[in-house]
Amino acid sequence: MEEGLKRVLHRHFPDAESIVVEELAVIAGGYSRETYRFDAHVHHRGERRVYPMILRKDPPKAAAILHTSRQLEHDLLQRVRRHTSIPVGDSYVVEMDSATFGEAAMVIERVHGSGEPSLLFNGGPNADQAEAVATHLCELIAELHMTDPKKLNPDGVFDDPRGVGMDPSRWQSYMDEATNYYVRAYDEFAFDPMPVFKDAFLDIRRNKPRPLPITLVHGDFNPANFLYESGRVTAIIDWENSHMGDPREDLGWMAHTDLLSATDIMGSVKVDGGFLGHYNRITGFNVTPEEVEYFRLFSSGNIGVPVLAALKRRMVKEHEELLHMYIMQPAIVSALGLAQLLHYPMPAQG
Amino acid sequence: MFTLPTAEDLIEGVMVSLMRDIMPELQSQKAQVALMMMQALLQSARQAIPVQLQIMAAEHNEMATAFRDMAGIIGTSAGPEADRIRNRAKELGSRADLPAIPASSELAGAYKTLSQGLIDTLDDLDVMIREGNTAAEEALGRMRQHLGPRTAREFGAYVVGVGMAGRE
Repeated sequence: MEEGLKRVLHRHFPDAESIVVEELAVIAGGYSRETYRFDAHVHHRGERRVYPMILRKDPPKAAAILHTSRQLEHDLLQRVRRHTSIPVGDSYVVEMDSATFGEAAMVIERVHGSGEPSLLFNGGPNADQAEAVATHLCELIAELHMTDPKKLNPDGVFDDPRGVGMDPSRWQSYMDEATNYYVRAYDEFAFDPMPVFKDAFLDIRRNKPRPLPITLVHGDFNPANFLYESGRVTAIIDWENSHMGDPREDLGWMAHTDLLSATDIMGSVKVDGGFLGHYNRITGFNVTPEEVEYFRLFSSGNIGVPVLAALKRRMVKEHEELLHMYIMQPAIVSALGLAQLLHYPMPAQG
Repeated sequence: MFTLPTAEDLIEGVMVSLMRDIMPELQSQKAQVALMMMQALLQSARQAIPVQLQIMAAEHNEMATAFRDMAGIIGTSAGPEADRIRNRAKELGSRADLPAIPASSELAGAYKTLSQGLIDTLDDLDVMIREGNTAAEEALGRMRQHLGPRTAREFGAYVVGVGMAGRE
């Protein structure tokens, strides 16, 4: 792997006399890609500079959870850096030839900051930063949604990155295609009858909210996908599921995963009456709590469909990855969340 | 409840990962032996889970019959031991039989058939609701009365703690 890294890094540093890879180590966590950290020591004209880096590699196809493109993620990181003030790591190089690392991969900047949002909450050691970090995060996602899509998606590659027939040229067509896709995909992921998921997808297809402008959305805006330090977000990470969509998708998914992760991003913003109020003041979108609830269901479809399909591949033994079996846990938590959002009668606690 | 993965499937998943992901990382022989003992215990649980309840129910009923039969064989024998055997036959041998528990696969199959019926009904109700049929809305409400407690039971049965490992 070190030789492969040196080879691809020479593309980014063509004038380097030598590149040495040190401290290469796998990073635990992260559900969808295999990630490694390392330092690249780049020698150029008698000087040595150290670049902290991450290798982000696709897992084997059968074991992959989200089938996304490293090339698109690489392109998007560069566009976000160029056209917004949102902090993201630089993407140095992408290697789509699986001969180098076994699967497609990209090398990105290793940004400083803590990736442990749980330390911000529940009396954790960084609790004093929670409000400032959550407020900054709210402002950054608002900035993403306010950025002209023509700058981030000039070539239309984020219109339908999964190739499932999305048409974001109009809000109505996007929502129709997206909800039809979720309903259609049920048969592809249901390894067992899953009535709550079926009910949820039919429900969101029947009960769509008012339209908003289509924007580029992060697509997996959740409490594990940012780094922070000294009360500021230092990077928003994992852009692999970005696509043109309804900006409320990111709010819904954050609200949903905030509950799943036992964090409190959305409850920690105080200015303008809270996360939603602050977001609305910046964007003018006037998103209501009811719309956030709708998009909790909607985003559960966006992420849930490929995740549950991955679980099904494990059930039918296409591979034997433990992670995919473990997905049963969040899937069942999600089912309960969906049941609550659909206002199912629930037994009294006790 | 989900019929898949079964408890056996979950245990098998752990066993595969122990051998593939953990065993190569173990440095000491002691740890390697401990892992092999874990594998044996997990395999034992895997074998017992699908049959344990069914066997216990059947053997409960067999034992009650045996108590009655033994008292009959002892007959009118004298002595405190024979008295105690006859008393046990009266007390333990007279217990009502437990109902037979279907085989796990049979139970899962029956459950799955009805659950699939709910899926098909959701499709039908969706069409009717979109056509403006308010009775279909009510029928959906009735299904949700079933699904709410069911989903809560599923959560209680399967989910361990809160949060997601590896997502600190």
